[in-house]
Amino acid sequence: MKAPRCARLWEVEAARDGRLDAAALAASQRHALRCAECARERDWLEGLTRGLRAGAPSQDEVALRRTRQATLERAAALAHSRAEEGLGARWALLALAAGTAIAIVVTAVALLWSQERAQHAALVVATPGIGAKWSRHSAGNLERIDLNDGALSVRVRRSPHDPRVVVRVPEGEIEDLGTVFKVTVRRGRTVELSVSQGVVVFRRPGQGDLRLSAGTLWTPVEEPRSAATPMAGAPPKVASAVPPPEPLRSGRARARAGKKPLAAGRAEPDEPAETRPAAEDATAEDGAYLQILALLREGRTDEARLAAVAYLKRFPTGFRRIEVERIADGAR
Amino acid sequence: VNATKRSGARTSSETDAVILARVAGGDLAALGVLYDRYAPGLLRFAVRVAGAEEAEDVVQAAFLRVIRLAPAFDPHVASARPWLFAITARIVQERRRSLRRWRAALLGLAQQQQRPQARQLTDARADLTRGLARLSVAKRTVLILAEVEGFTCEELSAMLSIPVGTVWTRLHHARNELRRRFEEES
Repeated sequence: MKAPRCARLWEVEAARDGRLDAAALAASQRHALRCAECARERDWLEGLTRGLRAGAPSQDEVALRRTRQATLERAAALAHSRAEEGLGARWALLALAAGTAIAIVVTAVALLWSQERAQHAALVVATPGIGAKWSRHSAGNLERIDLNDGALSVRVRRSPHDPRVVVRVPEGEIEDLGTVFKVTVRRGRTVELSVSQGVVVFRRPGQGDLRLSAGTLWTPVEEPRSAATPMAGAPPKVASAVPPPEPLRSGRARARAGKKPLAAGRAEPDEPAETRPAAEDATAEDGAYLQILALLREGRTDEARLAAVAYLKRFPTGFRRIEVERIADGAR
Repeated sequence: VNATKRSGARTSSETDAVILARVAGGDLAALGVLYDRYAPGLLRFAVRVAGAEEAEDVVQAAFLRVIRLAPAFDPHVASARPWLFAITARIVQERRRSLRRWRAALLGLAQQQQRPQARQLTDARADLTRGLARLSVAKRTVLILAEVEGFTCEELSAMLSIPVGTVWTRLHHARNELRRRFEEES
């Protein structure tokens, strides 16, 4: 049977580890002088310390020198690699700066390019009048505006490589060659086309192309009345060139006539309206007939036939009806 | 970094703080001075805690870490010894996994030594070595630093960044385990 342990045995270790204050330490030391168990404990702990210190490995000078050499070599290599890292970091910084500069230049170029594209896209500006019915379509190399009703002002600034710009109206289409013009459609019919700048070509199937330049106001010919026109019975006019089949009043023509050029979009102000239809009809009929002849001369028989049909439809009591009927029938 | 700086004779009188300031400035000769001052104790400690095979590498790693930590050394502290032991102890802790292998190898050797003929040659030092090998790294570190290197429990608390109560507990358990070991052996 084991003897009971001293209740103050723990103080021996506590004293060694500095866990006791000065008074407790002194009391513990006094107790250890009287307590054999505590004295044994103290001896064991001191023996342990001595044993651990004695068990320490002997100083290996070779190992120390070897370790020193290796340590300093590794430290030098580390410092060298850090210096290289620093150099690498400087290069990386330089590369980053260069990359940033390139990115800025590329962004600027892209911005300019996109602005140019935006300007390019805005080459066609269509301004509709109140109540205008229209739509716009882009397809390939064609920018098309369909005007069904109302007035539409169109401003086009195009260069040769830009898409074609065409305004479709009930009778045909108006191709813009880079200009400012206004077209008005009422009840399915083009009632006015005025050109402010540049040139447009008004194409109507079977009626040839109309080239309208700046300062020109085009209005359609009134339907021929049943009564004979003043021109009826007059000999046909033969012109070397196709005269305009529609009543065109260009600024140049007005200048030749000693009149002021007409402001774009304004109707003829000083010609009596009641005298205009007959004269216009005769001129238009002449124009239509001469166009048929021109087509025949060029060998465009089918188009000539269509033009003839259109002539007959438009001028059912026309001066050259019989001849045109023959053309329309293909007898010629 | 000037790896070729020569410290000269003044190094012998320079404080640890001054030497560490030079190390922080890239003076590797100063690192050599610091090594000469403290490496023997650190190597001895490393051999006891981590084994002879690992010890040299642990000390090298400790001095390489000194280069990185030197700028943070408190210049008002007189001696860098506790700081260097703390770094070494931390590295040993970080290498616990490889130290387990060392411990297993040592214990295997101890088993062989228990054969009758060899047992007669076994002395208390060998028992102590085996006992130490059975301790955990944390307990062994505290025990060696306290009993062999003479650091107080308060110093160990600061060096190892653990509460002083933990230091006391680890010391107590380490001693008790060794005591049991001796009792079993005898």
